[in-house]
Amino acid sequence: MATNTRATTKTNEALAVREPDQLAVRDQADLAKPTPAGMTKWQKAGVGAGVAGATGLAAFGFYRLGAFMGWWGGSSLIVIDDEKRDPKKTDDTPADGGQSNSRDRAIGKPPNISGDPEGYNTQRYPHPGSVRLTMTGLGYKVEYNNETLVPNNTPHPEVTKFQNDWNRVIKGLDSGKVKFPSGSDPSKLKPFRGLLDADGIPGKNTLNAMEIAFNNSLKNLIKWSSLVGQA
Amino acid sequence: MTTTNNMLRDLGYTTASSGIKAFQRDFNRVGSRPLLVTGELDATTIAAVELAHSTSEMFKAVRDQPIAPTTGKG
Repeated sequence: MATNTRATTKTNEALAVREPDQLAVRDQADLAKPTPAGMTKWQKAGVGAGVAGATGLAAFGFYRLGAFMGWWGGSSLIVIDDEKRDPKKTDDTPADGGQSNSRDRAIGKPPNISGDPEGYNTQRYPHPGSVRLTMTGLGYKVEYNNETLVPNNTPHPEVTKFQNDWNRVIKGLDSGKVKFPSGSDPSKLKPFRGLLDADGIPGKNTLNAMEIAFNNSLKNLIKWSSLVGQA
Repeated sequence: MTTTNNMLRDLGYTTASSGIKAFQRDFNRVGSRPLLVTGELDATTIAAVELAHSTSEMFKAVRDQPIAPTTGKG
């Protein structure tokens, strides 16, 4: 005669209540999980430092974004682009030194003749007003004030015009279509090389080109307008 | 006013009426909003002095050369 001995014997009653195998596994898994109460003070300090560091980085990034976009930074904000370049390399002079009659002017970017480690003449261009004056001196129509030329990163048409003029002059020098005035000092003509991105933004390369064009209009009597007229 | 006078001197002008007039004329050659040539430091002239002083290197360079004719290309 078969009988159900499970519920009747004391031994079986204890086993049924306990569910030993499943309970043991679940307990072990729960104990393996770290709880807040289980973290050491050093672990908590590490977590706190990480959160603080991430917050600080985010705030710094937001500040830089704002300065870049012109939300803050005032009229001192002048350089928009920031071309990645070798910090040791302040000039793009060709290996051969770049002769005034060479046909390799339309290579690279205009040189930083100031040698300023920032990549452009920060003493000459501390504010947008200096850039505006330079452009006025070169014959471009810009108002003279200290406001940024590119609010909200909007390209300025006169800056684009200068960039296109520069590129045409440089290519014209290479092709022979544009000629320097006779008697010009060849050493002063070397910086007339390199091409610009015609993006309407007065970045470092554009400022370097403006400095070259303006300096030569004073020292070498190479009128920028006459070079543009030939191109 | 003392600061404006110092700025004028830094730019190479005297603070006398004749010096202020000289600045006003030079500024009018490069500025897009001409000043009244009065020889007096009115509000707009003071602002112009401050602007010129903040861009002194270029201001001095541009005032000493004739303004180039407007480029027609581009």
